[in-house]
Amino acid sequence: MNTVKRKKVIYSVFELIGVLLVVTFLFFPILWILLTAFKSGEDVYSISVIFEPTLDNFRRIFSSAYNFENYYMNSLIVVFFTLIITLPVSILAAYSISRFKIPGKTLLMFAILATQFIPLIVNVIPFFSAFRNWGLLDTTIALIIVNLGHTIPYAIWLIKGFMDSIPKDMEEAGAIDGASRLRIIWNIVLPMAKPGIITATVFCFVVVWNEFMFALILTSQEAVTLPVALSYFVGENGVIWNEMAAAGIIYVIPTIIFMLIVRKQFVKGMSAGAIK
Amino acid sequence: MKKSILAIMLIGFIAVLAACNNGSDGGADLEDQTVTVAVTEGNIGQFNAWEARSEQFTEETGIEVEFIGIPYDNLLDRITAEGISGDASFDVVTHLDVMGPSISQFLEPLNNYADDDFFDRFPESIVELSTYDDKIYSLPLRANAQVLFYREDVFEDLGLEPPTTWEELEEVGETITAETDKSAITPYYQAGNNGQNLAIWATYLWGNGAEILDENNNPVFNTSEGVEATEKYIGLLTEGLAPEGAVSFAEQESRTHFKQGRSAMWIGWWWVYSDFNASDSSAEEVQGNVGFTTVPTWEGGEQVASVSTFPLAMMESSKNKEAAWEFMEWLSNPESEKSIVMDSLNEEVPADQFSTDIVQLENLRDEELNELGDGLFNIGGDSFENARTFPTIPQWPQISDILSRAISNMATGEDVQSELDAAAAEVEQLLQE
Amino acid sequence: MENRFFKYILLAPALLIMGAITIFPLARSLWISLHEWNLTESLEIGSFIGFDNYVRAFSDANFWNSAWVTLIFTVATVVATIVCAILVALLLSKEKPYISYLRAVLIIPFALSPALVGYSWRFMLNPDYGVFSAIIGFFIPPLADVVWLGNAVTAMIALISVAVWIWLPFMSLMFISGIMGLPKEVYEAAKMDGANGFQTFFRITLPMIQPIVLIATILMTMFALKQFDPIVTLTSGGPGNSTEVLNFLVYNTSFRYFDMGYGAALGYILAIITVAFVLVYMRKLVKGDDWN
Repeated sequence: MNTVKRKKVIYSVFELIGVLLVVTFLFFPILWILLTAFKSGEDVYSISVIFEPTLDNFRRIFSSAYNFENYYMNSLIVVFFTLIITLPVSILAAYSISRFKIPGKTLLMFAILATQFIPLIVNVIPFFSAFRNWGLLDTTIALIIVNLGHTIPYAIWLIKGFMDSIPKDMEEAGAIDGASRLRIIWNIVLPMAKPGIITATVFCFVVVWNEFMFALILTSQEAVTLPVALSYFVGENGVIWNEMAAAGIIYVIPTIIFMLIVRKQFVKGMSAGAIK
Repeated sequence: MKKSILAIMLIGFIAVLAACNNGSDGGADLEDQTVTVAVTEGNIGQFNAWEARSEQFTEETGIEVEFIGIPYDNLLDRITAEGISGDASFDVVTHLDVMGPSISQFLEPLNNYADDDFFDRFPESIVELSTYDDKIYSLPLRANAQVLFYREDVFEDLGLEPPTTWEELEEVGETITAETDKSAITPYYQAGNNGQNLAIWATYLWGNGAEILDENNNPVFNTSEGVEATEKYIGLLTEGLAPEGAVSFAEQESRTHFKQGRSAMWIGWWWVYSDFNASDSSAEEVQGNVGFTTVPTWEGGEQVASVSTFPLAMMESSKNKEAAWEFMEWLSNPESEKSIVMDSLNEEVPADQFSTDIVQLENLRDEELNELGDGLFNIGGDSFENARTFPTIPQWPQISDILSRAISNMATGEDVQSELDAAAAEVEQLLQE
Repeated sequence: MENRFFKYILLAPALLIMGAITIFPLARSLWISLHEWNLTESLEIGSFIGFDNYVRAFSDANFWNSAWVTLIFTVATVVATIVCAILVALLLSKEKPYISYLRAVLIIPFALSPALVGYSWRFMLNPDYGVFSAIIGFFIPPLADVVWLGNAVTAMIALISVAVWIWLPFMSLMFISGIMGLPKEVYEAAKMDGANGFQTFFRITLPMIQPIVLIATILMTMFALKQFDPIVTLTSGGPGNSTEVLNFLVYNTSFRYFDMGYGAALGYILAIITVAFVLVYMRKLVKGDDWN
């Protein structure tokens, strides 16, 4: 009995060390970037953790010279509409591929992914010319359209993977009850596939939120998004790291809030999956 | 007879009148136009000053001016996309000199708007950087001359004089590294970043009588003079005069190294002078202690310096060319250049409009300006006069990258002769295609 | 009858949107890759030259260099990320409150702008004022004077570390979802049989999350092959061209040297390399039951 207990203690000590290592590796750089955001131009080049913190970097971001609210709004609009379109269509498509016999399914899955094999840069010019002709340059609509081209394929892949692991029995039970297919998807499949859907949502959220190349080429004033605005801190004088860090911190907040909100959903979805 | 003369005079008069009318009509047309100017982001004082002063231009001419900012590192991507579309969303654009030759097909030659005299106001060398195929494509309103910065306090303490030759630079360098904990000089060897690491190399090379390309555009930088020059340049690192980190430094990082008081000399663009002495990012020991002089040369060799420009060009697809030129011409007025810098040096404008950028000959030698600017403009003027420039052939960006990579390789320890030979072979192959 | 078309109706919106958005640019760049088009010579696409641009790559030393760099970077990044992510997932797939919060903030490195990440690591690796250089020098004094970005090997290590740092959070999250979704009964049964931790992991956990591991590996391979922003901002391909990945070469060829035809061809070659990787994994994936 004693040895079992000791084993348990040793095990949890190792576990704790492991968690600490992971936390250090992942969060030390974040901590340093966070500290940098409060540093003055001078302190940036010192590795001392004792310095006089300043809010100047944040003041500069919120100053009128830097149109921060506008960039933020654009990014939020692009992310919101991209996700609101991506998720339903990808969930339905993933469900269909996961549950039904479709001729050439493997090829279809491959083709969906194949749309993403080419480096983005190669497609920039064709997109630019097309949007120029349609008068959509410098609009958020253009960015939403382009982003949909990236999010949907990945979302289908991610969600299908998770749907495959959900047992079919419960749906069949629902079908016997005479519920329509869409109802079954809504009431039974969605709750159980939640962890996968959330993982895919997080992925799409971040990809769209960070998309740089197209935002750079397709926008100039009105529809500029945060990643492009962040690069305004690079110039002839090099990288103004403290200001960029400050902007970067503010810029990552929506993702963290989003993650904190879905944190519980994650577990709920998981336990629902585990009931079975 | 008389009648016909009268008739001719009348016709002439009418023609003049019509011309006048046309002129003022043209003016009225321009009045409703908006010129869009694309500059780079990154808080460049000169561009901010232009934007602030463009209101005055609008008052004078009725032409609206709108500024848009493009990320510094991605300027070329944007110009390319806009250029290919054949319908650019801006009329006037700034770009790095190195990009010029390859984007000239998107740009409007300015010879149609100004005669050659107009460009005489600039030093020849920087106009050359805007000239491709005998046509001038841009106004070099922002240009940098290469100078040697040094720490006056350190030199004084050790009883040293600023070096005028590379040998002297090594001598004072050895004293500095022996007597202080500083590096003697901080060069920048890192590849990429638009070939920044070529500037000092080229100064060594040209000063030693070597060339990058000969008249027929054949690579000749691997001659014995070229190799000697390159070995000396890399020698800064191998002899321990430069910090080891210089291998991985881009220009901005090496500047930071100097600004932090970690080295006693720095070679680079003159505009950073104000940054060294005043900026809050310079260490306290550095502020107010930075002097400058012309770049060293070889014993008995010709005095040369590199220059770089960030010129202003007009897009070929612009629909407001007349108005755009009006604005460009207005910006090129020596008076307005002088007043921007005077206001900066007298601290009469907000800090974000601070600019010491002078490129016009009469301003470079202007007494008032030089007095306020510690004689910086005179030194800059000398450098512009001694300046050599990189080739302006369309393949230059690619050649620049090949050389930039070779320099980086040699700094990490590759053999100089064989790296230069390999680079020469690659350049030759490229130019033959 | 309705049922026969139902599956296609579900599929249609996604396929239509994807097709409308992606097919034109893909076809257009394929078309460009089959042409001679040097932008410095002409604004118009040049003459048709078949596969000459593709053939040209084989005699281009820069291409081979980039291909190798890409391969090393991709294999190292994918292996390191996936292995670490599984370990992290094992640690963090417990239902403890502090771990639940940890899972929520875990995503931050992935969510940060890739450009900021690259620049920040560059600062942190600076030999003078870089915090990493200082820490490494403190714990391992012989390494104190290493200029991390000044040498081909260490620059590559730095690059791989950054890529792992970016992708580890997301990949861990995928595996956490996978592991936490596994039925508990199986584990209880294993416990009864007296299986130890290792046995449970290799005999139960790993096989059961294998489909997710494979999907994660496929996606991770694609992301590594296409990694761009952090590389440009961290090393810009240097020193020399020791970290110039293929995607960076594509960018330089098209947007700096204006060789649009060759650039597009290099892009398609990168796509072909991706196909090769993906096909290998997908065969494994399809073999597993259920997938079809």
